[in-house]
Amino acid sequence: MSRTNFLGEFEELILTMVLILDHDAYGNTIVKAIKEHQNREVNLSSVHITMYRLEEKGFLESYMGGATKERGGRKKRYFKITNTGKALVQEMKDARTSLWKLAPQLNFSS
Amino acid sequence: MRTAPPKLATRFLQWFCKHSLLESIQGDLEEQFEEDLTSYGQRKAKRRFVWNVIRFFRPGIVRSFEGTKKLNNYGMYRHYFKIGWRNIFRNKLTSSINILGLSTGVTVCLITLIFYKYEVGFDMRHKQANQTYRVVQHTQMQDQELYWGTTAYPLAAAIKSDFPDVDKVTQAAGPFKRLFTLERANGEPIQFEEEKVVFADESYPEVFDFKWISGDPKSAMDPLNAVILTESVAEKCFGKNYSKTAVIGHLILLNGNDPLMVSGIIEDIPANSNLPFGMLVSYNFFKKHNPYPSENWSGNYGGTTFVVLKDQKREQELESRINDWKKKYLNKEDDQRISYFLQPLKEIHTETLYGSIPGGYQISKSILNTSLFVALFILLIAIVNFINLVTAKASTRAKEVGIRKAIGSRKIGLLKQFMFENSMLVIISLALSIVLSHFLLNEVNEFLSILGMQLYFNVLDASLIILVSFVTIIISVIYPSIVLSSFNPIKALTNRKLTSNGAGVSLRKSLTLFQFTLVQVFVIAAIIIGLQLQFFNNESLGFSSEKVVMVDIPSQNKIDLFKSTLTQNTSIKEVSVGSGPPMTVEDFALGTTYRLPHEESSTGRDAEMKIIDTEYLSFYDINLLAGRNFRENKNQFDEFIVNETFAKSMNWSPEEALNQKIAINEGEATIVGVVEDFHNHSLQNDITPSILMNWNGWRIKSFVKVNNAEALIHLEEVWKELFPKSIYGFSFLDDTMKREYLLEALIFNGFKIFSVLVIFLGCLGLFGLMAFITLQKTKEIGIRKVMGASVTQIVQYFSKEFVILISIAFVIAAPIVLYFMNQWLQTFTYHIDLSIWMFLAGGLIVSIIGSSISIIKSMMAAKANPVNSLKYE
Repeated sequence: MSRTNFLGEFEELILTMVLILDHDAYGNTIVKAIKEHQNREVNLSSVHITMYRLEEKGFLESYMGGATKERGGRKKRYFKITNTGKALVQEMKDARTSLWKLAPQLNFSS
Repeated sequence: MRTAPPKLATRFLQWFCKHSLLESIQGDLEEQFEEDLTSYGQRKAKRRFVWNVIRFFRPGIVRSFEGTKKLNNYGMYRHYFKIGWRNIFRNKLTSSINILGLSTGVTVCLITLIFYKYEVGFDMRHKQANQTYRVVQHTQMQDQELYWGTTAYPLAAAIKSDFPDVDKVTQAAGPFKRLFTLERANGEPIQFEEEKVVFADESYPEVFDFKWISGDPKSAMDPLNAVILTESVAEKCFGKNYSKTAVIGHLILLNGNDPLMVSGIIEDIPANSNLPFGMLVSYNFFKKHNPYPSENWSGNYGGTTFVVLKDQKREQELESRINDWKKKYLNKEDDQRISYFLQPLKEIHTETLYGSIPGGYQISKSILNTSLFVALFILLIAIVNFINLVTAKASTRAKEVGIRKAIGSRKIGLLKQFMFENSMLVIISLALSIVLSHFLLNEVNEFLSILGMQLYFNVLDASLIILVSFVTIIISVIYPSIVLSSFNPIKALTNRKLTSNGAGVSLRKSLTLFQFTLVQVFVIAAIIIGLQLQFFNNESLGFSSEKVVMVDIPSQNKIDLFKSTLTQNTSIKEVSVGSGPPMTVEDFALGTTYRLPHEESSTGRDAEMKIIDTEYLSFYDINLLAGRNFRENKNQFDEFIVNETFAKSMNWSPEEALNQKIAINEGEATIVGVVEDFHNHSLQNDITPSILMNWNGWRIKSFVKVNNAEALIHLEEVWKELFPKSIYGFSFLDDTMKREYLLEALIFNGFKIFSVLVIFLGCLGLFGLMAFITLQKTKEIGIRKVMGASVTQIVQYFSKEFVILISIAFVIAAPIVLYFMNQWLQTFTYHIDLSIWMFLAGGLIVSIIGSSISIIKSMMAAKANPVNSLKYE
């Protein structure tokens, strides 16, 4: 894993959330999803910054769309995970799983 | 009703946020806000909104300082700068011609402006300059009117006592040359001669402002024996590091016996003063030593009277009151002849009617204005060159303009670009010319050192520079930029022969025509002025002045001894003494009026009077037409020798004039001889009736014919031995007489320099234009050569146009010069006649220079191998 491919904990969380939310990933939904799934309050600005950073690294891509009556008729910047991003999440998950396997197994039966 | 998020926070967000991110961020924030409204209520929602906005104020969101609207322009200008810079270097020849030409023009203009400002600024630094007037005197004589810048000495005191409503009156006498001696504090004796001693009364420092170093301006002239020194004279007296305050009260002896007390030290008087002085001495001393002139109302012995009128409207009223009142003091005859006028201080230097003070000079307003016009014309020529070259080059940029327009540049943007680019050239030239003129001013000062000129840049001239620069930029940049920016993009991109035959050509032609007209005007004028000056210097004056050295005679009673001691040395053969050389020099002439003894004294006619001795006529080779020379040197005159003009004025032939009795102001005598006319005034003026008399008064100059250096050394030795108390000084008569044509020489030199510059600029322009045209037509030349044209034919083809232009210019220039030069020559009594060859010579010089440039340039193009220019086709 090269240095640029290294992800922080928060970055990984956001990347995963974008993956989960599929076609409805933008600032507010991500904040809400994190609150819902992890019960964790995050600030909107941190989410934005992180998403832009991830976009720059090539794990996310964004497109403008979905103007609605709410939010003053402004467009949303939707984020979508790229293939590299997907692969990275997968890779990280696998890496964690394989590490987890090396840990001494708890034996409840004994 | 929907609650809007806090405005201030929104504005803040809009200000700092990157524009590409703003929409989504603002949207997200507002969505959040709307949710918060329902879950927390208005106040908290607002607070959270503000907080969220602030949280967004972080790197990655905040826009950088590049990419805003204002700074986009900066980027654009950087682009212009880069393109402009590249273009300057790509066309090194044209750029350097442009810069050289323009900076020459601006330099000339700047220097002339400074010169002009200096000349019209005479004495204008005084606070009351605009309220100060000089009293001038007009004397109506029988056949002419005399104009005096000076008045009778008692006038000032009389005005002071009889016109209490005149704010200030002051009186000055001089400048005179005086000898001073003093003892320094350490006992060292010092002796020096000061050329510019002015005697003035106590009000003088109140009327004129000086920069006081020590002493009290209000009371400095009050003591009866006061003397005020300028810094440089003070240094002469007390050495370099004297104490500025301790020397106050120090005694200086005037002519070895009158003690003066130093009462003040002032900074040196600027050279542009009408009455410059090194020492200002209390008027009392003048009165004491010149009791007769200082009380005499009918003579005019060099007293200058100034009055200050707070209310300028009263000028005319005071003039008429003085002229009504003057009969109180003047005798009846003088009252009728003499009238007084007030001349504003600022006109003294430029009004030549009254003449300048001895050793000073005047420049008439018309000459000043002419020089200003000439300088502006030179600047104009330089600008015309610039415009010519830049528009000529415009076609090489046509494609660039086409592409710029095609990708969306608007005309105004292109206009900006080219104005910026051309301004770069102009600004480089301006910077260069400021540096240049700074150095050249020293040269100019040196060149005009005979006038004591001190031109210098000062801070005030900055506005002048800005003005000149501004005008230059505006005129030279706007037109080419408009031409450049108005190319039609379709034409520019499809048709290569866009401008080579467009409207620009006829403009260029007329500008070249204009230039060459001016060039020829200058050259022909310079030739004529030069010839006139040569005429002044070479014209036979009716007497010989070669190798004549003049020295002062400080003491009348040693004349015979002086003469005999001098001639003991074999290298000195001829010595003569008199009141002055045959031609009046340095504005020193003795005048009188003459009549027949039985006529009324008021019918006197003016004559110039000269005191001579028995050797004078042979010394100067003046021929007698009738009668004889004086037989011996006498104390009292009883004989006159007159000139031909004198005899004619009385309707006598030279023979008839002999033995006639004539009365002059000084007495009566018989005419014993009539001499051939010699120029008793410089050649600007007529020969006037002249009376030569043999008398022991006023023999103040000695004339010595010096054949070698040994004679000069001997003269100095003898003189110093005989007159130990005086300071030796000599001058060659030829040099002194040349000074009479100083102004004409100055004009000539000015024209010479100006015409060289104009030719230079014209040639520079022509060269640049030819270089460009031949470059543009390289291919055409190649094809012509391939088709069989000879070098001569090609050269003809290219230079024909310019030769024709120069000829047309000559036809325009000749009548202009004819008119102005004729007027100028008419101001001199003795002048050359204009003839056609002077004009032809001028025209020829210009055509030769002009056509050789165009021929050389086209020759270079024509000689090139056509293979080189056509191989890419």
